[in-house]
Amino acid sequence: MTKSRRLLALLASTSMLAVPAFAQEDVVTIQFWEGHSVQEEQATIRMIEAFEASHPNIKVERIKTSFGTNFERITTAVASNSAPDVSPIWSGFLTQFAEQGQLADLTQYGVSAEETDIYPGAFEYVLWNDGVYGLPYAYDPRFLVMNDQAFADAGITEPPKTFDELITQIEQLTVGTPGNIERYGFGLGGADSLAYFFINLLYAEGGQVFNEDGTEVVFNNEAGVAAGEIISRLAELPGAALNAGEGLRQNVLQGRVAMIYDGPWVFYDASNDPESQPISISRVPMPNADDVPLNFGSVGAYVVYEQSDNKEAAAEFVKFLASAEAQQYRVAMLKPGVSPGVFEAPEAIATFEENPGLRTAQELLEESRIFPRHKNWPSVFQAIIPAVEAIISGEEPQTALDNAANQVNRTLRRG
Amino acid sequence: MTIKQQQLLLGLFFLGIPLLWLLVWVIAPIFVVLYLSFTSFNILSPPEWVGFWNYEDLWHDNLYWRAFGNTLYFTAFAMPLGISLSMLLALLVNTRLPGAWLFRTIYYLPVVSPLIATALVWVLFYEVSSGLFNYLLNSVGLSAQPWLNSTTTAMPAIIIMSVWKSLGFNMVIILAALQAIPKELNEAASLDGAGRVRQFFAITLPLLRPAMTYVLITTLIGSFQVFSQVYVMTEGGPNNSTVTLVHLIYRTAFQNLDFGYASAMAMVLFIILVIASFINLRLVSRGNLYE
Amino acid sequence: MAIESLPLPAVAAAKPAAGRSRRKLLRAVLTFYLPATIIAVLMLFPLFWMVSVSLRTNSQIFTYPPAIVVWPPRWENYVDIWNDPRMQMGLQTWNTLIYATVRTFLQLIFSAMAAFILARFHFPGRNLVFYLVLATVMIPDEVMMVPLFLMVKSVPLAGGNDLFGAGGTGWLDTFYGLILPGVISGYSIFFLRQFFLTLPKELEEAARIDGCSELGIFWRVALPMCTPALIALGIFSFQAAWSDFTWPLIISGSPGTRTIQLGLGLMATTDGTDWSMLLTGAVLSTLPLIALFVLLQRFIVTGVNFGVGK
Repeated sequence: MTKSRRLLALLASTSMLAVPAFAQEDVVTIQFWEGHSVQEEQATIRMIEAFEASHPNIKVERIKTSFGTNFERITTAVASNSAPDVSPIWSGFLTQFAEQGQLADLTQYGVSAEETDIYPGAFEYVLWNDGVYGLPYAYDPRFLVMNDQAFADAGITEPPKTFDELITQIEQLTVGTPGNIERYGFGLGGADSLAYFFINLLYAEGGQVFNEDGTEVVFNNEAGVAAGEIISRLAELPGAALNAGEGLRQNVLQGRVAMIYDGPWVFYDASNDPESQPISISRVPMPNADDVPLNFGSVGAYVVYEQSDNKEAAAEFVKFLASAEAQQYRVAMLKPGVSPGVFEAPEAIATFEENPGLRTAQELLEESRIFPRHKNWPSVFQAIIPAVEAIISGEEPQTALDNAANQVNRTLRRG
Repeated sequence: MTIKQQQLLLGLFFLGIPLLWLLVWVIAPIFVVLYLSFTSFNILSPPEWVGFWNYEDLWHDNLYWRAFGNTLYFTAFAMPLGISLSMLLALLVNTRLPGAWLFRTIYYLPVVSPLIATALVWVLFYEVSSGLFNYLLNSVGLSAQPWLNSTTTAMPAIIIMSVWKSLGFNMVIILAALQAIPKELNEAASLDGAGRVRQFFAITLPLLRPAMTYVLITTLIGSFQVFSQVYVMTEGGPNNSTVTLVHLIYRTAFQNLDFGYASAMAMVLFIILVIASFINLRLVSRGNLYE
Repeated sequence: MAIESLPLPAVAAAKPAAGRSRRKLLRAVLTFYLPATIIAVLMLFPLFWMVSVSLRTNSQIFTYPPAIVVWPPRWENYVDIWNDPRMQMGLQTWNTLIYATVRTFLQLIFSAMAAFILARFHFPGRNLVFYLVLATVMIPDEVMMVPLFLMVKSVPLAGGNDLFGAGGTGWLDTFYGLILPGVISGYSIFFLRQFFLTLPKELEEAARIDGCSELGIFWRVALPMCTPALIALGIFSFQAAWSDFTWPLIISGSPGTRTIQLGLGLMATTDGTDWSMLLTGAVLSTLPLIALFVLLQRFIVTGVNFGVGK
């Protein structure tokens, strides 16, 4: 504790210099809504403490908000002019809200659209029409989580390097007979993960979700079908649980599943479970991995609302939350930071030393890409999921993807 | 005051206040939804009039009709199953034997427990790789089932959960109605030599008609509006096999922010329900609403 | 009251002879206790599992093979949730209690009034009114949310609003906004109407002959006779308000109006769900509803004797 206190004081004194001089001495209070998990909340609390210490004329009123799973709380608040100053935003809502003129353009408050410390993949999310409409606070890469014991049992010493190796290893790792599996070789959980996995494969095959001007989806072209065929190859393995639900993370920690496709949440779960078995992590091998090393990451950003009365102070707060000095607290809570700057931050250095897996995850962000920015992204996402599910249950990839693309293109034509 | 005057005054006051409130807070918003169904409205900026565009689009929207089919499927099984089982439960616990209150309470418990928590428990049961059901199947030598992960079994799995969750609700309504039937009626019939089954169909069931009208119509409406369990358990998957109308409406409104289109979907559902309930009402009450 | 006019033969309950009591007990076990117990076990099993899961850590929830109980149980969960700064369980329970109680009470009064007229009075257009009331429940709540929200926000002369409902926040983040839009429900009017229909006409007429006013008929004859229905409806309305999520979600803003379901909603985040806390909270939040049902269910049964028999 004393160590972090000292650090806090240090940061406070150094970042004082960077604070723009506010004209008045009055203390501004900004309203900050968040609905974070315990893990994120603890990091956020420390960030706010550090921010208030370095910005004595800004107070942050943190309000715990249940956003509803689809953001109803924010949408209705914005529509009625009762939005907070700052809140997180995710998925396609940022583009949608920016297009409706509801978000403040942070380039007015000293954020450059060209130059940034933040990973390019994550920063891309907040760009819209030459403006910067928020700053990322979370950037979570996807990777393979492997149960060391399961790999030792199967006599495998190296993580899969190619896609074919992945398939062979899944077969080797699986224990049991079809219909009565004792250990699954591979698990890929939940509808969201399925879609992300598909998009990762699509990118690796050189494909895109949307066409150039974003008027149509093209994920059903050759690259998409190739991606679909890879998924159907995986689905044929009896030891691959491709649409498994909630428990996968615990399953890999307990050895019920040998290897899963997951994100950095696994580190927190592992640290909270005294009985969890050792795990390693590794990049997901992609079909054309040699030509285009790339990985998938999901992103969340904090935004400042146009209707806020304290946009300048709010922008200052959002900028701070994305900085390496704030993001190191996030690393301390076992999540990667949004900029490579955390490699230099003291708390992060200490954490990476104890947790080399987390360092690997952080490194993966350099080559990660996010879902496309498009205001209709939620409806596209909703169409990709059933298409991938159809492929898993044996439908021809071309047919499944064509159906989904037709459905989406109808929606896109609606505007 | 004469009786007529009293009735007029009472009628105006008793019916007037609730109706006025209903007009402001329920009927007016329905008209707003009707208006919005002719607009393009994303909640964030003012609606724009687009005429019948949303409805035309809806006609060609495969997903909407898929959702419609899924909703019918759900209703066709959940409704008869739920009502007949509730009736049996109500008859079972309609007794003065000691301890009956305990059973009534137990059967009602699933109704009061929060949906998100109970849905999670069922999700745990249905889990493919580590769920209880597959564990039990495997331990008696049977093959594991995909449950919520297969297009053929996901909807039945949701129906089973929904019936379990809501049995107690209709049971209480039917029980309250059963209790209002004078015991003497059945006792007289049994003196006349009528068996229990005959007593039920000749005496009990006709007397239950007002309550059953309520049960049938509200269950119909409730089944057509099935949403939460789908939302928590499958989010419409796999491959859209459990997407229901209200689930699609909710997604369109709050995920895609296409509120005009969602309103059109809701209006079509509204019209379907009005027609279905009207037919139902006519059939159950055989034309006489006041029996 | 004038029950005697019902053409019912009075049948004296036969006292069981001492020798037959054993056979009667056996009959009771076979026709009631045995099937009732089997069904009870089936109905309770998922709830038992819910309680069992609430006594675990997050990682123990997904063990394989599934464990019926995990030893030692984590009773701390129940202390933790009470102290969780995210939840403020005490305040939220209190808020929910106010919300559910007031809404239920108003709903019972208004619904009984309207239902009584719709069931007992004859007037032109009564079918039309009835169909109108019925039709209001056929539009899904999810689309009503946005128009209703905007209306609550623009209630005139409330929350800083001017006469035309502009300028302020209206009833947003207040108990008025939470409760009042929902106090009339087509379901409850329909429900009580169906029960008022079952009252014998003779009762009313007898009361009228005794010099009872029309209001008196409602208050002293019709309402008491419908006690079981009123109680059933009260339980339903209370429970519906208690488990309501989306409406409080968009109306409530500060902890002062936050309900318990919103607190539980905080456990599900974009970073995954805190299952053990969620289930612990769920079990706790269900206890008041169970207590209410245990307390009131006997009125559903005994309330009937106001009118019939004896």
